[in-house]
Amino acid sequence: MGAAQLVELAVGGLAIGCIYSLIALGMTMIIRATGIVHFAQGEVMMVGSVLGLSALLLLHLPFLAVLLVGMAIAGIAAVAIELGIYRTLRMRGTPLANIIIATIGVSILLQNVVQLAWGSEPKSYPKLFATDHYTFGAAKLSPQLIWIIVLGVVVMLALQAFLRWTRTGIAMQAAAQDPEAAQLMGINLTRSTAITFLIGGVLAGAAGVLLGSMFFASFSMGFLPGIKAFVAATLGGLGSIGGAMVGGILFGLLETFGAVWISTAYKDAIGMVLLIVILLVFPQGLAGLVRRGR
Amino acid sequence: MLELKHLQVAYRGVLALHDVSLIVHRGEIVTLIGTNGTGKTTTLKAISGLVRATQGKILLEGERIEALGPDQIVARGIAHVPEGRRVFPQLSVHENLTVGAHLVKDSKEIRRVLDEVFAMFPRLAERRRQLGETLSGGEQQMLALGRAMMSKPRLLMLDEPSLGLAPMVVEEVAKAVLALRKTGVTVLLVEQNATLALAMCDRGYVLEHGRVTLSDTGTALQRNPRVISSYLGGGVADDRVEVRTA
Ligand SMILES: Nc1ncnc2c1ncn2[C@@H]1O[C@H](COP(=O)(O)OP(=O)(O)OP(=O)(O)O)[C@@H](O)[C@H]1O
Ligand SMILES: [Mg+2]
Repeated sequence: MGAAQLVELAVGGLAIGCIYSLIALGMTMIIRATGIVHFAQGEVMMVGSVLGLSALLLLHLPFLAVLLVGMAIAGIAAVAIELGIYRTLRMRGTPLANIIIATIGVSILLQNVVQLAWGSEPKSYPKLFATDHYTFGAAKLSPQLIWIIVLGVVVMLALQAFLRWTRTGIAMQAAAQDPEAAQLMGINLTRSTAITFLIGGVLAGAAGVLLGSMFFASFSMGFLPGIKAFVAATLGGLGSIGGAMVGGILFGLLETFGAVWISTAYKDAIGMVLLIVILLVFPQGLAGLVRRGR
Repeated sequence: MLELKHLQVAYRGVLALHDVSLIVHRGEIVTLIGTNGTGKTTTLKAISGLVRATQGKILLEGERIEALGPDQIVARGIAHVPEGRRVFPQLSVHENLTVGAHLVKDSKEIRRVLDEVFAMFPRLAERRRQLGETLSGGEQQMLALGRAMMSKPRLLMLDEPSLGLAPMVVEEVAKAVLALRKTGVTVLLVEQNATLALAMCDRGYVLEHGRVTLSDTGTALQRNPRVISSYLGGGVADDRVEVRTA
């Protein structure tokens, strides 16, 4: 394989990896705050993608505005699901395992609702960038992929800044680390959990618009990326924010190179084999390795 | 300032508090002593809204608060330093303190109280970038106390602050509590270390199996034969510590 092809593959892997990271980050934040493994996170992404595309087609918005619309809609959807369903279940004392199963129900429900309201046909995003490709040495890089990486990284850095430097962000971390003690500080858990879902949804919405712009938008587009993001979050050490970012990007690269070096037909299976191997070898994920190393 | 009237609390139908009535006047240090599992922690949790009273009233300045959520109770000026300190492990000392001031909106005010906390516990100032989980037990207790101060409470509730600490650290924490009282903060102190608690307090209550069985001034309780035999290790009243003069 030539260097040019290697660079092109790496950029493709990084781009899809950023998308997995964005979904995995939301899952991670939700696990930390509530213990819920949110299997509907891929569908939240899908809602952002599908409605973002609708906004684009109806209102002829520029791409950046579409991205913001997709983020906002997915964020609102996630909050509505949390307040309407998960919080109600928690208040009734439903065991966590049952709530996690309910998230699978939500995933199927969202797919069906969007299929009915929006149709079964995948719709492609219009071409978003003028230039055909950037050249980098002999490599031809799609501007699409470069922008996905740039925007994905910007969104992730913004999240880090929010969690680290804003009062709300620090309060959310406190609530995730010790909910009872956080309440004694005057933190309202209902509000803090809702904000967690809002941010998780916003990140998924960004992933949805970016992923849609690479391929297309459809009611079923969220399922596999959702599962893969879960693998990425596990790879990073479930519950670690930095781990989810690195895990997503690593997973995107592994999957992309695996498809070329092993077989495209096994592209999706490679990731799942990876999950099982990780769980066997490093039950704590990458974050566990780092922690042990310290 | 604070009054509990026939408070009753149950966990899944099992009564933990049967009948607890007590009064804390403004500016007092009141202590609640009792052995393991008598309901001391439950009493504090009921006041701060973490558990619901099944019966009875909790009055703060005459206003009923037993139906309010924990955040509303903090907003009314009650801070609760929980058993086991419960410092946020993955937040730095400085972040822990900031979270303590969650309901204080004025950032100048936050900085002023932060300086007060650092003046009281210079050790925290030295370690302000260190993560909560890496602090020693004594430092964590100071942080938990400082974090509670950050909400500028009128009433400070402490659940076994001396647990697992070396005598010198206990003394440091006790001094801090006495200094806080001088600034007008009212204190409700829960302790198993009755020797310390009775030496520090103005008045005390003895809790047994979810009921208040005895209440008197601290000095009177220190001399009470029942208290001596059950809570002061059966020793003579003379070996009580004198923290007050320290
Ligand atoms: N979350 C809970 N669920 C069920 N029972 C509980 C719970 N918390 C406390 N209890 C029970 O309530 C009773 C009082 O407990 P509490 O923690 O208030 O005692 P305590 O006086 O603080 O004891 P200690 O000195 O050991 O801290 C105990 O019998 C305890 O087992
Ligand atoms: Mg206790």
